[in-house]
Amino acid sequence: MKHILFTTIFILLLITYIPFGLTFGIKLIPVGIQPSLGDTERIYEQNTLSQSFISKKDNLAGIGVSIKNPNFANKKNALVSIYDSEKNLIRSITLNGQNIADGKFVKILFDPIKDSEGKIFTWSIESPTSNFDDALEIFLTQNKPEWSLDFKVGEKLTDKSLSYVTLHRPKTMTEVAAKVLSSWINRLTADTSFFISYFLVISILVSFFLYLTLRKRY
Amino acid sequence: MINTLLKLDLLKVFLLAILLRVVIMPFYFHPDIKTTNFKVSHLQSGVIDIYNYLDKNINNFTIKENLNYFPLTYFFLGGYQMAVSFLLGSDFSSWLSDASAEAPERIGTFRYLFILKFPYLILDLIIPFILIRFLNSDNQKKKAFILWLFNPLSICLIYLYSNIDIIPVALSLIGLLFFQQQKNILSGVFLGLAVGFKQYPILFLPFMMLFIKNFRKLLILTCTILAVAMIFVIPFWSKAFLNSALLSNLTTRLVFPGIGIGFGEALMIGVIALSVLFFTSFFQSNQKANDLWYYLIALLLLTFSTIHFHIQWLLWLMPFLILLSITHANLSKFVWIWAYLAFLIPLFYDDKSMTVSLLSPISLIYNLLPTPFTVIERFYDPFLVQGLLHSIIFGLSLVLVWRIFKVVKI
Repeated sequence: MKHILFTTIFILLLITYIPFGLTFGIKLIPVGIQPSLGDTERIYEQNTLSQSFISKKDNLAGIGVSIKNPNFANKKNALVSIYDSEKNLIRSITLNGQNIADGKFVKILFDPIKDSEGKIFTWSIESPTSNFDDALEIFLTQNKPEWSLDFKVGEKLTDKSLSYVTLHRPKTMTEVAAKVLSSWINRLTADTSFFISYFLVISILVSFFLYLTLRKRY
Repeated sequence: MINTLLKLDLLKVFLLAILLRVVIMPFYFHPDIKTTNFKVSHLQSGVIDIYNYLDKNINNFTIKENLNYFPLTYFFLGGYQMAVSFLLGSDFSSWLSDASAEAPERIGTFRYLFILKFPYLILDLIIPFILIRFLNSDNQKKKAFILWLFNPLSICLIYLYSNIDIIPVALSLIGLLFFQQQKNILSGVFLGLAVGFKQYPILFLPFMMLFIKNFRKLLILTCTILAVAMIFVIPFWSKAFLNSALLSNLTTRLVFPGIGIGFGEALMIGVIALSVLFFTSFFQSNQKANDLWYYLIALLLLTFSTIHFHIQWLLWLMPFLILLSITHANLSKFVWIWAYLAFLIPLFYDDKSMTVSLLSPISLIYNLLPTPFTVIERFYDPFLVQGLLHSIIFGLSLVLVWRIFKVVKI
């Protein structure tokens, strides 16, 4: 009996507490999904990369980006700066290559920018002490999201885009859980025929189970 | 089956077991189910020799992996996919070949996961009926039945990690049951079929040989297993098959961990452990076919203790762990400590798909969570934790094997 109870509770936790409990561990919500990775662009000497974007949410608190650093070749500092639409520096963060494993998805975090929704920002990354051979490389994408704007290498405007996501601090503890739940339900119900069949099967099993339980009792 | 359920008063329990499995099936995702089903989907296009086909065309596909299962897996899963294609729908092929991170969150994922895991559900529900045939008393049978259906480990292995190994596990268990009943040809057929899916049941053969005194019977069993397995292997024998299926995983991992003795030679720990077990068996008298599974559990305990294993492989051991914990209650506690510790090791691998991204069909947001590996990395070396756990299960395996031989007196 204890095995049945233990396993039943375990399964119920797997579909209730685990998905929702884990959301409280998520301190940042990405806007969309990181676009597919393509070629890379190096950061060295005067080769500064700057990418503009429209923040889709409030509380902009980070940039998530994939960086190449084969065999930890780069162990130098890289400066990340965030500018507003007036080109005022509003945040700056220093990274170091020795903490960046090759291909790692790096979260560049800073103090949240409260009313960021709908505003244009630019993030730039530079590493004047790096050279071409040991430079960190940032992945580009061919699937530029609609919120991603101009991308410059040095002062030169290109038609490419970095592959990145913006990260936002949730306003409340339950925001992520609510977002997950609504996305879960929406996608489950969007596949109507599966949704109906699945709940029909579950209903039949539950009914039969209850019938057997109650039949014994009375 | 119904008679067994009614006799043991387990109908309600069986129903609850089905319900719990149905509830969880669509919501957990391990990438192996998608990549394996992508590879077997080529059967629908008429591809028979999948190994050479993938070897030549791999660069044309979004998922660039060879099939490292034996041919029956290809035909069984590929055939099943064809049979249920009307349920999967027209977007299924596009989902299979979608190698992007968004794939698990696409509409239809819940349907695909449910349908693709359905054969696993059937086999998972058949296994307790086979398992109880190894036991004598109704009380033991009832316990084994419940323990298979209600232990979180096998449920996680099958439905979270989408474990294809449930197929050879079920087939080899039937083969071992026939062996116990002295039906050597039937035993050979089922074990041969199991090898047709995955090569691990071939490890059982040397130990089965110890139980057959009659040379003719020995020859029949050996030839049947090899002949049935070879029917499915020989037509595909090629360099591509050797590289992708035969020389992958278990075969190479078993000989990998070693102690160098100079001039390029090494003592292979796994092979040493299995040799000790095998040759010790020669000194045991009065071997009965009913005792075979004691040797097999010892074999698998030593194998997993000495290699870097895939979490899915733990399913090979589950039926034997249940039998041991029921027939020898004094070992039960240690058996389950071993099982849970062994299950923990792969969760510490540097691989999101072992933990947080299992939830990716519910939301991709879980991919942002740190894995146990990255959490431990902040204050300790995660590889040391893995090594520590592995060393503990190695020590516990030795104790369990010693106790099995001592208490059971085989």
